[in-house]
Amino acid sequence: MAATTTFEGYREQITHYAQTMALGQNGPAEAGLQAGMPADRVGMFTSGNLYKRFDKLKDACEMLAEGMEEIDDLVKAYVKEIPLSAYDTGCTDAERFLIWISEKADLTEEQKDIVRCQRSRHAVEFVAMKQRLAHVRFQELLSMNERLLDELAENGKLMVHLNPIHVWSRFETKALLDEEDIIPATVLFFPVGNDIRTVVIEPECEELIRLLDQSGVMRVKDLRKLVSAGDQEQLIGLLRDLAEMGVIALG
Amino acid sequence: MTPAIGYAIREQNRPILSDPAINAAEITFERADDPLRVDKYVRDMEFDLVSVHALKLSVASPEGPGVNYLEALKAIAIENGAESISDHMGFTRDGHDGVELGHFAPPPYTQVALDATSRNVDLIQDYFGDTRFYLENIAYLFQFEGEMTEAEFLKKVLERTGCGWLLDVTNVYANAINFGYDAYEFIEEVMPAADAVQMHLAGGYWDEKAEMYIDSHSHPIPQDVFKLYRRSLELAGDKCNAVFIERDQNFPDEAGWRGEARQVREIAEEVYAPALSTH
Repeated sequence: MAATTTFEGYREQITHYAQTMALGQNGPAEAGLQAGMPADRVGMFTSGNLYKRFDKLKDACEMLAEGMEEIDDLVKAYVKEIPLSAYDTGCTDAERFLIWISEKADLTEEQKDIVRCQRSRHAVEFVAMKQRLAHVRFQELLSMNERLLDELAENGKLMVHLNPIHVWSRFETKALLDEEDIIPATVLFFPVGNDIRTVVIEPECEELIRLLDQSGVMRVKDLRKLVSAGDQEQLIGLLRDLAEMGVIALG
Repeated sequence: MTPAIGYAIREQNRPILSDPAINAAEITFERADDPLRVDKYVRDMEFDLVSVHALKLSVASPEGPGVNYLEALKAIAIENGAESISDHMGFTRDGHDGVELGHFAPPPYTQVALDATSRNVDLIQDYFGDTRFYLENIAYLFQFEGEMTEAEFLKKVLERTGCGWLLDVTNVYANAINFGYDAYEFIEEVMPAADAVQMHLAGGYWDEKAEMYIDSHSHPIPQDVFKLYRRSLELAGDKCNAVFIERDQNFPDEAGWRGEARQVREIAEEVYAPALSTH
């Protein structure tokens, strides 16, 4: 493509170069090179970029790759079919790859659980990106849990804050679970600091978390009013467990 | 005044960032922009100068950078007390909803590309206000057909926009070898157009097969780059406020990290010493 003199022409030129080079198709950019420039330099550029992308995806999907012989071919096919999207963070490419591979490959039930797990981890990051302030505030509150846990049974005025960044999923196999876990298992993904934690959630605990999710911040005494006298001890035990895991913060 | 000297922060060099030779740090935005972060990227370290280095402003794209990206970049700059931001003179994508190349390609050095790039730099500078923007010359593997040289293009962007120049000395060195021009002349030609200067130094390797010098940030800074750096400091004078060393592969040991920073500082102090003695 010859040098253009209009802005629309420039848009067309760069769009054409970018969209083809992003898929490793070098012809259009080669045709636009300065006279005397070796054409294979475009190939060096695009293959280097695709190779880096391939490596990042392999790293991001390491768990899925275990025992999956065709993974390299699938990643190669993906990078040649689907270009990296503008402003990609790495996480977004891995997420799109997992959607793509779920449609293209015949995954086992165990592999499907691994995909669910990885997509849930991505979802935690996506939610945190949108709710940065809520994440940072909650993590600050979390640092007070250790001190306030001692007051949990006695101080009804304590406020219970649910970690605003949490994602539910369900595992159908034991691929990622302990032997004693019952399947299907409800699992919760949430951050503590900049780590993402995963825990299997029992039904009574799930009910409490969903209640907190709907109600927002609640006082311990108000939560106590919702359970019978006989279940008070169990409620405090659940709150203690959730606080120790980082699912809730006391304040 | 001797420019602040530092590293582009990597986990591997964090332990030596308190070395007396180091008083600046460069944050690579894409590394720092973790949505789950709770601490500043520089943690409890204090530097005389912090800069945030971006990879996806794509200043030579037909469209300016998106607001979400600018906002995220600003957040990292504010959190870490950065006084400048920078990115490369190239394009990494077409439009906002388009594709990403994964690395920056040089624009065709044409009038219309110059207009688009200058407009994007203006937009970035308007957005960041007092946080100065520096534009980095890139190392490239090819050049598109154009209407002016890279030096002319860069000079015009600097003159039109008043942005700073992030002079990547190693990139000039690599391009000069690979495309047969004089690295010293390139810097002499562009330097007068820059009101403010920062520098990058790194080491790459000679690729026998490609017959090119590859700026891979994987080796110690070559002596020829140190010579070019010295000359660049002489030409920049007081306009240069910071020098950053980049290393991304084959990380050195502690002595290696410290040694290179000290060498970079020693050269700067030698260049700036005569000026100091006259006051």
